[in-house]
Amino acid sequence: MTAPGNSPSIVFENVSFRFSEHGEWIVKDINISIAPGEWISIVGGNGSGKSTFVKLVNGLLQPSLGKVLVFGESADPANIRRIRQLVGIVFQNPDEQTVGATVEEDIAFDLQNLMFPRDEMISRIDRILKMLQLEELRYRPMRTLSGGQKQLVAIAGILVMHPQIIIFDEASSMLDPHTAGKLLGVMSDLHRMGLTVIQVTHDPEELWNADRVMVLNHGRLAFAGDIPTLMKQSDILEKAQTLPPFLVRLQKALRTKGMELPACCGSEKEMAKSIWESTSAM
Amino acid sequence: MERKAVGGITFSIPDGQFAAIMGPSGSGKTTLGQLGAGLFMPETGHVYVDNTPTNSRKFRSEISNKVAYVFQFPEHQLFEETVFRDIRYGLRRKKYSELDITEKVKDAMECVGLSFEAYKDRSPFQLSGGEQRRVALAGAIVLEPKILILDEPTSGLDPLTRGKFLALLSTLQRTKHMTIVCITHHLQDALEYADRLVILNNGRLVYDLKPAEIRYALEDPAIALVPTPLLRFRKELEFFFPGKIDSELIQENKLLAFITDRLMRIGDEP
Repeated sequence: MTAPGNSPSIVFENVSFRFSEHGEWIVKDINISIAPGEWISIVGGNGSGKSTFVKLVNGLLQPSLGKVLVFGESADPANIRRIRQLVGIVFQNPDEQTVGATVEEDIAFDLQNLMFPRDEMISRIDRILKMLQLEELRYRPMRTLSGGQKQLVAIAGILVMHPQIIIFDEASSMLDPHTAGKLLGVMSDLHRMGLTVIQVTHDPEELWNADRVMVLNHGRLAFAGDIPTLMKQSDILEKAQTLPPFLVRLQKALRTKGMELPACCGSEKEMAKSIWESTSAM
Repeated sequence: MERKAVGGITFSIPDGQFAAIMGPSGSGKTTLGQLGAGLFMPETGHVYVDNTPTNSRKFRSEISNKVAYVFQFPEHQLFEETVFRDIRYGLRRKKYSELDITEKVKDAMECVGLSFEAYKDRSPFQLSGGEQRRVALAGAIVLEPKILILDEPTSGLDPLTRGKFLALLSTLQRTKHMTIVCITHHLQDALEYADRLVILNNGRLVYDLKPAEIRYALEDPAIALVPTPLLRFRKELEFFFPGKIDSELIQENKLLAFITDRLMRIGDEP
């Protein structure tokens, strides 16, 4: 499926959401426009509205106020089928999003539901299995896979639908660090291929790849901008029940103690060198 | 062919220790935790909890009074109508007055960072994933077990809540002499809070280390442990300050204090 013209991939216009008429607002007055091919990381405390935000993007939830547009089309029930094909979501627990008995059957599930021709299904599955290096698992029963493998199969099941936007809702939080690193590599590949990547995460170290970070605090958008700008005002993260990455925390703490450091040390090596230079100059 | 989830494991955890169980997915961590809680019986060998064997039905209630086990998805254990009722559920057969129960539930909720007044009457099913997790954890803490076994307790918690929760476990260990067994993927959390790292691979216990000895496991390519940003940074510091970086410096606060109290004063040294 091709995405319509020059529209932004996602637009939120004054969006608010609550479960019932007199309930608490879960997200409130959100305005944002996300360009096609952008990588957005969303951070915020538990209950800040991150998962609600992503469910509003693909129409799993409908806004109580305001409008959500996906490639210029309203994410309302009339368009839901098209929106779901444009937007895929990978959730935290792979066991809750895999349905097939074998890897191949699981990946084919949505294509079968939409009655794709058999040849087209097979060629799409071939391509995705190759891309995610899952070819060896093709006929394996799902129950024999590890958590990380299941998560990759869930991603394959989304990618066969040729989405334009892929959302990872804490998708690596249950994986061991090695597998989580592999998943981050897959996200980078998809971003390079031009997909819009939305990553909801609690891990401050996973922010570095994002083009922009959205910080949600009690349902409101407290910040949307690039990483250097956010790291200069990292208090925003702490107020939103989250943390800046380790190096930023360390730099901030050392500056508070009177150490003079350059504006931003992006790597462990630069940071160690800056400390060495700073102590040598004392 | 059936594969053993864990095999040939011999070790013991002394009273009051905080042990982190680590290893890649599928290495047997959850199985080990569940054997320790008496939820499974070993096919061969024996598991003892406080010198009581777990493989006898006779001692089942004795063991379940001593050990609380928090599953990997504690939110799946929620079923009552309100947060208060859910947390008090485990106390129903204990002979406490209503006033005592309310106090205990309140304490447990405050421990996990849930305001008693704001949450007690809410439905657990309308809370966010992280909030549900805290409710389930409060339900285990309220039982005041002697041994607390937790399977990935902090995944899904935001970083500040996670830090507070781990600090809480540490406090329970210190003040109540509770034994804490925490299955985790987060190496930095284990380095910050645990007394001991038990590392599994393919169902075998491959390392049993003090946190300061972590380099032995990191140097082993078979284990696939990923060094944390702090460990990577410490390695770079060793390059610039050879011989000055102690292997005990694996915690953020200690490392910060070392840089400001020692490295920043190098010029002052005679």
